[in-house]
Formats: sequence, structure tokens, C-alpha cells
Amino acid sequence: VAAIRRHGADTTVSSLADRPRDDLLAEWAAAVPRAYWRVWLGGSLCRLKRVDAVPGVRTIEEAEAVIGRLASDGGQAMEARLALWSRKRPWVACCSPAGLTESLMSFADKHRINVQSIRPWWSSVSAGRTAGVACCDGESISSWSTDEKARVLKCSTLLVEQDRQAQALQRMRVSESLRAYRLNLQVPVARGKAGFSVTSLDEDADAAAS
Amino acid sequence: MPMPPPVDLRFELRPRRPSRALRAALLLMLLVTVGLFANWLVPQWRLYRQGEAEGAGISVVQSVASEAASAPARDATAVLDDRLHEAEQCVKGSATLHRFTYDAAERSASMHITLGEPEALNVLMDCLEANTTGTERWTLLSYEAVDRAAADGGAQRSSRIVLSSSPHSKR
Repeated sequence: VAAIRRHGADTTVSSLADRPRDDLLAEWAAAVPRAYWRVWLGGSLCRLKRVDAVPGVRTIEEAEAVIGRLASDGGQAMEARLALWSRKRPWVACCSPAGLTESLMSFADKHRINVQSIRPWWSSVSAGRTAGVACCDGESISSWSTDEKARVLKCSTLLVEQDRQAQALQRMRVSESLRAYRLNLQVPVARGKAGFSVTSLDEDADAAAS
Repeated sequence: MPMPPPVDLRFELRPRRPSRALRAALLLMLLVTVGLFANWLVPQWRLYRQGEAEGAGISVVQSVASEAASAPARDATAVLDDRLHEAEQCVKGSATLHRFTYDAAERSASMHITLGEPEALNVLMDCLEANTTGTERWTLLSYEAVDRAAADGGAQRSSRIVLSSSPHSKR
């Protein structure tokens, strides 16, 4: 599924099952030439992975290469991106299919689009001050737990279809306290704000989105 | 209170660009390079304009004199250089300049020049004296006849001279 939203306009949601991604994006790009885009990736395209720091690694790029290799299981090549990097603390990475961001950027260059950011969709979710968060979209559940200093202790992305997510979430909640949110593309967010609306799965009420 | 995700999870997947510090350093380097280049280019441009003025018949002495207060030594060199140039024109085709030096402390200049024909010496000296502005006086310091083997097997004679110029006021 891909969705596009412009300021003050409703969100358009399209399926990528029967048409190539670039065709759909080209159609959107033609509608508003020379636009500024924020690209939000679904959880399955931005999988969380926590890896213990590997001794001897000297740069963040080297660390990302190591994590990308570790994440490339089952034959699909992955590339990793770190938000922060430390030689000693565990690394928390976002793993995407190799070449995804490169192809998005070359598409943007070709169509003269200024890409302001490429981030996982749950980056826009503002959760309360809570130890554990789970963000569900149609294909995956991304979750993390933090300590009192807001350092990530545990994180993962579980690839699971929407109809089995409630069950998976229930199992996850057995071992830890999680505040869960579901991406809701149909609800428009406030004008002038980037991001998405989410529905709280705990209280069945809208949570804040920024 | 709503909170954004922890800093560990604030990923940005766009290709990394040079940091602001690196960009600032590159910009600084660029500015320094441009400054150095301009520092080299401006004198070159002045010399070029000066050459053009010379070609148009404008007295270089005048233009040099206007800057005399700021760089007297350089101006004196330019005047003598100009004088030499005029003298070379007098013996065009029969003289080769080897060295021209100016001693700013002594305010004297000397030229080492080889004349293809010994007779050219008089022409050269006359020319130098004819063009003096009253501020310098040329004297012959040395004269040497040089014989070289010519293509036809004979000897070809030339003259190697050293001239000196010093201002009248120094007398």
C-alpha cells in the first residue's frame, strides 16, 4: 500500500499489488511538479534491529555495513541505518531492503522532487512517556522498550498480517507492558502537520500525531 | 505528555551529506583559494594594462611615477627596465640581454648584454644617453670581446659588456 497526502487535501491510498511502485509515484509527481516530499516507510521496509556493539568497528558507516550483513538473512540483501552510534553501547538500527533509498532518491532526481526526509512512519508518532511502544501497520508491528533515560533496551519488527496482529500483540504483552498504536491512513491529520494519525489500541482513542 | 520516539530511533534514511562543520571548512578553503588567486591575478592584470598602455604610446614613466611614493625601489627598477627596453630597440637584432639587476640600497643598476656586432656598442650607449631623463647616468663597467667559431669555419666576434646606471644625485 502507498499513500500520499498534501497539505489541506485528503489522503490518497493506492495498492501496489497490481502496479509498479514507480508508476504510481510518477503519477503523483506529475500532479504536483517540483514538490517537496517527506517519504514515510512502512514497518516492513524499515525493520528495527538491536545488535551488541562489535569491537574494532571505527566508523558509523562500518557499523552500518556490519549490521546490514547481519540482517541480510534468507538471501534478501539489507542495508542498515543508525540514528546514533557508540563504540560501546548496543546499536539500534533500521534495516531496509538494499537499494531502496537509492532508488527513491534517483526517482526524485529524475522527477525533480526535493526529498526532505525518508523515515519510518512511526517516527511521526508521539507516544506518552511510557516504557514500551508498539506501532502496527498493515504488514508489521514495530516495538521498542526504553529505560528511564529513554535508551532503547529492546526493539524488533515483527512481520505479521493485519488479521493476526491482535493475537501477536497479545503475546507480546505477556512479557512486557506495551502501549500500542495502529496507523490510520483514513483519518486526516491537522493541516500543516507532517505525519499520520494513529489509533490507540489500548483505549481505542486517537493518540497524538506530530 | 506526548513524546517523540527516543533519539536512538530517530532514523533518517536519506543519503548522508557532509556535516555543517565539513561544509563550513570546505567553504573556508574555497574562500582562501579565491583570495589567493585574486591576490595573484590583480598584479597580473595591472601588468597587462601597463603593457597595453605602453603599446598605446602612454609613458610608462608617468604611470610608474604615480605610484612612486608607495614603492620607490620598484619604480626605479621599472624606469631602468624601460630604459633598457628602449636601448634594446636601438640595437635590435644584435643584442642579447643576459642579466639585469637593480640594487635598491645602492640605487644602481647593471646590465649584462652581448652585442652581436662590436659597433653596436656606440649605438647602444648613444641610445641610452639620448633617452636619459636626467635622473640616471649609464657607465660602461667592462667590455670583453668574445670570439666564437662560425659556421663557415672562421671566427665570429661579439662583445660582452656590463653597464651600470646610477642616479645623478649620487655623484
